[in-house]
Amino acid sequence: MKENPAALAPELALVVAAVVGAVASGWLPRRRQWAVRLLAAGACVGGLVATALAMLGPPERVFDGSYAIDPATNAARVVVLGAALVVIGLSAEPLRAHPHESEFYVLLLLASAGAIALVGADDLLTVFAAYLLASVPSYGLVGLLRDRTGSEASLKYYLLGALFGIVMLAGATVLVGLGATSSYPGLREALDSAPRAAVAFGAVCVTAGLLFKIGGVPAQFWVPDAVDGASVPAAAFVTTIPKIGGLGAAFRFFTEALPAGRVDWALLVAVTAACTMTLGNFAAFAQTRVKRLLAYSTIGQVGYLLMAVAVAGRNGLAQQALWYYLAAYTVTNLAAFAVVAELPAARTLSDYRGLAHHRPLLAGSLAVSLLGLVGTPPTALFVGKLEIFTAVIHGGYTWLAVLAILNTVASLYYYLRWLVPAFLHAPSPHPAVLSSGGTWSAATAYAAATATVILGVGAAAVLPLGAGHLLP
Amino acid sequence: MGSLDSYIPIFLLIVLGIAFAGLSFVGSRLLAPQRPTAAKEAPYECGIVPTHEPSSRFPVRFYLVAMIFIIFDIEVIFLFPWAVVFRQLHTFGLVEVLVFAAAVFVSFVYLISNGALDWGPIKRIRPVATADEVRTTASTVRRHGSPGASGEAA
Repeated sequence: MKENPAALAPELALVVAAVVGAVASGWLPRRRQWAVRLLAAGACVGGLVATALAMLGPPERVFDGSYAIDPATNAARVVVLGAALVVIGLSAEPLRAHPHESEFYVLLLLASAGAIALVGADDLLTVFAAYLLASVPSYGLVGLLRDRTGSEASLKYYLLGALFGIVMLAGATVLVGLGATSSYPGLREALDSAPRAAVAFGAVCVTAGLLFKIGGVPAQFWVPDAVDGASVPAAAFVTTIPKIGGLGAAFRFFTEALPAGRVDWALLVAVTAACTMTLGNFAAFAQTRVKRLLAYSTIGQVGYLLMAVAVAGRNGLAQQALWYYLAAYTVTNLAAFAVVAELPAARTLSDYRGLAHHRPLLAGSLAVSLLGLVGTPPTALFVGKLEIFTAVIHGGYTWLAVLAILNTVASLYYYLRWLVPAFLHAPSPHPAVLSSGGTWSAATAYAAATATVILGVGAAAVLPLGAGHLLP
Repeated sequence: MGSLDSYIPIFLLIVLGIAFAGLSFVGSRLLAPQRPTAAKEAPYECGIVPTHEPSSRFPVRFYLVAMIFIIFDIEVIFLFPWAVVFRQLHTFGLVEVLVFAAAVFVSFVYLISNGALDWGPIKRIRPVATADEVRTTASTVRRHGSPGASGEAA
């Protein structure tokens, strides 16, 4: 038995801060709740420092082999903690002095810890515990403001999550029953001689649960409603951080737990990726509300991300492409949500008319983030897409790459539907609609948009951080 | 696929479960007499004609009590297996379970700080409007099918 709690320092920092924040939230006066925000940000920074130290050390498996500290886990820690910091930044104003402000940060920390644990888990039961830790606080985040749309969104999210959680647990039960163990290396060995149909059933069910976490077809139904109904900070959170955990967990599950060649999971993931990106992009065409449009756009992005999972293990490119794309997507998507948080009164695409006249810098950030989501150079997602397409073509799925390129071209249309009125149209007759949400949201938008470009230009330095062998 | 034979009971159980649920619905639809009247369709108030919408201000204290119960329920569920293997886990297990108990206790503290145990009388924000001041058996109980009943209310 090998226990090393120090190896889990980033996760523990999040959980301890959440526990302290939960106690503090009950006794802090409403105006002093910023202390919990500070605590949450401090935990994220502390976690990043601990991750940097862990990156210097050798990879290891801790807690009886149920948790792996390897390049993928460290990459997930960096991306999740960075994303949590950005979400804290953009939620400073929308939530200021709200009765549940402290609880928001507590739930955010817990769900972030769950997302990291999803990636690190090297054991089916740990994966399911992490799934719950990442999901349950998210339901609360979506419904935290207790308004009608938020409650409805939260209930939809919860019911779908409960359904897919049960499906996932059923699949895990079948796999553990077949392999007589729940650890990935043990399963890989034992499943080689197990009945093919039963292994396929278990693998599909576990995949279904992870697809719910990332919002991929056929588990994408919650995304538009949850994003549209939730507050902007909660929407920014659920479209980014759970995806990091779910995709990392899927990557590890397929490459480490399933014996090679036993079931053709790659084809399943490839078809799912194709459906996800096509549905997300085409459903976004008709949207007029900005949050709904961003929701469908994230579904489209998940399709591209799943492509990297489809070719997992075929070549070394897939893993670094996945983690680079995740980092790039996270910062770009959060930049777009920060702009939405900065303009709380603007709900529809037409509300953004003439934004460039009123707020040139903010309009610039919006342009960088939306064109970044398309994949325009020199933003980070351009390099990310290039990496993923290369990995997919090398992995033998040329048709998928062609479909993804067609989707990328098509997606330009709906991002431009948002951008063109913002830049070309005359100033809005109702400038109140473009009133500022506050300095923190604006600063977050500028910072995230800048980071998108920096990450794109400095790709050569960042890319290798996501590479490196997963622990067997 | 002979090795799949051992899964046949599970498969049968799934089929049986779905069939039972489905047949129950279909059977109820086919066999039950369906003569709906306004009184039968109305939400229950024990045959009394509803005079106003049920108040949505239910005191939610009960849910918080249930939450407190669940917190300690879960703690005990984890304590039992820990007690069984306590000797193998030594100090590590003890520290681990103390940390766990502390985390569980924090959720209890959080509930108390949110007023889970404040059971004073609920402050009524506005008086509940009663639509009908004169409630007699003649005005509130609707009789159906009884001799002499004319119209909706006898």
